Amino acid sequence: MTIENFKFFLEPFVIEPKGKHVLMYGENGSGKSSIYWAAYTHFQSCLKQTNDAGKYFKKDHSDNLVNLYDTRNRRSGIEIEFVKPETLQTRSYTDGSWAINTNADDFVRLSTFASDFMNYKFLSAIFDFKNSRPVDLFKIFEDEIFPFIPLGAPRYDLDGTVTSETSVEQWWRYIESCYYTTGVLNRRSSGGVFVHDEKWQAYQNLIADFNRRLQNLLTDIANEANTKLREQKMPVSVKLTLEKVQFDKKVPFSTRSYDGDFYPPQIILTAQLLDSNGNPVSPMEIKHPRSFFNEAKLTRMALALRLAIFDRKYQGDDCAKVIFVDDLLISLDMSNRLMVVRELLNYANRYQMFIFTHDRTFYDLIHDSIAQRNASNEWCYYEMYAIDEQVSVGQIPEPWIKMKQDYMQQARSFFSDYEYHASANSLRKECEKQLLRLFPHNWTIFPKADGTVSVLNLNGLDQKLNQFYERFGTERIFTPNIDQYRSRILNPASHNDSKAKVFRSELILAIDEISQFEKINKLRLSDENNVSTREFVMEMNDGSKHVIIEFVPLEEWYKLEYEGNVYYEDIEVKVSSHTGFNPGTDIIKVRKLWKDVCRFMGYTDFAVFPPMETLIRDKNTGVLLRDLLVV
Amino acid sequence: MFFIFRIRILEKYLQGFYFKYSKKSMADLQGVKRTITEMALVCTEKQFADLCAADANMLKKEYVRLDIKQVRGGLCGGVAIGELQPDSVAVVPLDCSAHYLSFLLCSLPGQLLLFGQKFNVLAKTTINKKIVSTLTVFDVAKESEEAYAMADSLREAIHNFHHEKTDDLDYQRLYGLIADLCDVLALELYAHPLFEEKGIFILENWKALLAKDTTKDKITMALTALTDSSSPLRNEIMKAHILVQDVNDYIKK
Repeated sequence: MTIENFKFFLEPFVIEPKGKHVLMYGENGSGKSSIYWAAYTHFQSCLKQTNDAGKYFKKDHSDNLVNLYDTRNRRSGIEIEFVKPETLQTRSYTDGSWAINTNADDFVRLSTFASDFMNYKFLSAIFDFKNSRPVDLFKIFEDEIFPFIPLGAPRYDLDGTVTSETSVEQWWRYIESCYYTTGVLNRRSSGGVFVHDEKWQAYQNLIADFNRRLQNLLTDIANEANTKLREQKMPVSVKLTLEKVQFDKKVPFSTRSYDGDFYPPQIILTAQLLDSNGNPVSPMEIKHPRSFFNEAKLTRMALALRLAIFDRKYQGDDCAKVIFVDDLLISLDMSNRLMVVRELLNYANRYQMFIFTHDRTFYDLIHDSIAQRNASNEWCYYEMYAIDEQVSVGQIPEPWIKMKQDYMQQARSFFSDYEYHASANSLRKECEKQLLRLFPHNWTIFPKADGTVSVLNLNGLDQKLNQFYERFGTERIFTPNIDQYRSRILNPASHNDSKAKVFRSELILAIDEISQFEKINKLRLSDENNVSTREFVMEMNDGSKHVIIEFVPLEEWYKLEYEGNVYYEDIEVKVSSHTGFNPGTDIIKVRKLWKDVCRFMGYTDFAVFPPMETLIRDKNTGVLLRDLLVV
Repeated sequence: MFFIFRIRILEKYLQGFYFKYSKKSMADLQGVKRTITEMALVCTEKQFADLCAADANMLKKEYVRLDIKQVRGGLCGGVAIGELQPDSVAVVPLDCSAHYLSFLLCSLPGQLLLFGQKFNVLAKTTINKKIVSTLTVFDVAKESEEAYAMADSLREAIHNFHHEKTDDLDYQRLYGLIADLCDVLALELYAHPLFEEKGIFILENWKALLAKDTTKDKITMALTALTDSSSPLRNEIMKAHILVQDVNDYIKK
């Protein structure tokens, strides 16, 4: 994306993620929201007439968004290049003072309807209502949602002519304009009362059509949101009810008088509590959710609705599918943010994501969540700052962007610049980071004398590395020389020991070995919620002997994937029942249990033991350990 | 022989009636454009009554009943058997299914054609045999006809539920989904070159869905496909809503 002379950017500013997702931290006033709005303006331009789309780039237009410091009447605009990853075919579209071609074909239009722009407004809209008032979401839908959703039929004029306008926003604008534009509807000359002629009837029909279609759309969204809430085991369902657009209502207690007024619609959010079977606890709807639910539940409901709207969008493969998120969570506390981040990142495998934030803590939260998903390689990380006009070259505020590298990237970068100590220092941090990721959490901390808990450093972590590999039953050590590198390179570098030489050749080997950690995929089979509850069955049957052992895990259960091989964690389990073989104890390590059963069945050579993951299955679903989906 | 016999019966009651039926290429997916009178008999109440009097079997055959007084937002007609209700026009199919004709007449293009390429803007508009007789329809391959007819029969089935549950938002929504499917299928039929140019294939995806599992409950199957975000049918319909903007030139008498 190239942004030129638009909002904060005077000089051409290029961001080129090369197909990766983008996580950007930008301090306030650095221009990160300008990137968000540039993308928004570009995408939306295909829905507008050329004049309307171009007004943002004309300095003499009151709605222009040209940089304030442009004194030379430069050109202003946004160019976006889309690349199809399979074929590397590129398409470029411009929305600017020199050209607008986002309507040249259907690509940008489809991409606009398939993509989404999310900011804090929708989520905070739920919270913005006084406890006593119903939650009316019409305004937020009008501003944020309607432009990008088709209503399901082309709009028609009052004389019945079909137009090319299909979005909810276009329908709604027309309906409003019919009422507020003089001369469209006929009034009696006497006092402005509307004549109930064909036009009046046509207007009422148009409004009825709009109401019906919009209610269907809202029901669709609410149903999708409720599906999400059910998946999260939230005992609540939401409902969106349209208080319909009305025009020229009959005056109460009158047979022939009409009020001539226009009543805009409302989109009322209500909720119902559900029991464990998913049925409403009471037929009464909760009309004031703000009074009834805490922030966490309200956040989940709002997020479910917002994502439901997104999920209802076009999902074809013939366009770009992008999510832009700008400071989505500024109104939420940390625990709610974590929940929202997890939901958002679930879309990363289907959409290209651009997440912008001015909150460093939130940035780190997303960064860590991505790392936990072993997806760091799929993201570009940026930091953006504003250079004050007093120090900038051009004496005007300028953006400054830096691509944030992870420790391994830093290590390689320093190495290329012959900064070996710095490289070794980054390598140490990378090593620590990876071990903290891979080890069970309780392995990574230690209690201090003052009663607090601290995280182990590399020395402490390194001592447990062999134990870690043993725990996953891998005979091969993926990183056999870490201890050497720790003592010869990584420690001296971090202690700023200038007398210790860091040899280039040794550093190369250390970089190569430590980079192996990145390739280790740690996947969770069973989480903390399933400890002591989720039942597994180990079964072997050779016709003469039939062993069935049921057990529950006493710890979270993980597996490692590395270079095409899978290694299962040797966790402690509790045997709940056994047939055909007595393990001798209730609490046992799962690998010992497996080996004992195999020996009992007559296997003597470990090399030919049937794999453990083909003998154990989830008791409830019957799915083998080998095929269990990770959580 | 039966066909010629039918013509003789009809000629007794309908003066100046003439039609020609010609085979079309199976490769012509859009079908051959015809006036409706080449594919069906359009009858007033009296004419239909006379038809039934002459041939008792008429009362057992499906035909399309159109409401003379159209109501905005409601289904303008549907497939019927037996006596014709008052204030109706009967469209009796000759060599196609009643549901196919109903599909054409009750969908968006049919409605546009009925009212001079304008949406029916009035709450109640009177139509009559003369107006209906000038409509243009498509004579399509049997396989396609069956697929269109199935869409219409599902629409009618849900409408019968909806009709009694006007306050039920879920039923309204389900009816809206099926009605939308019928409208877009019909639009594709009339504006086939435009849909092809845009790479939108509604009928193809609809047929693929129907062929998927012939034992499954069709309504459930259709509604699932129309609500599942990843469903090709649903996405093709959305694509039509996003891209297809000017169909007027294609929907003409």
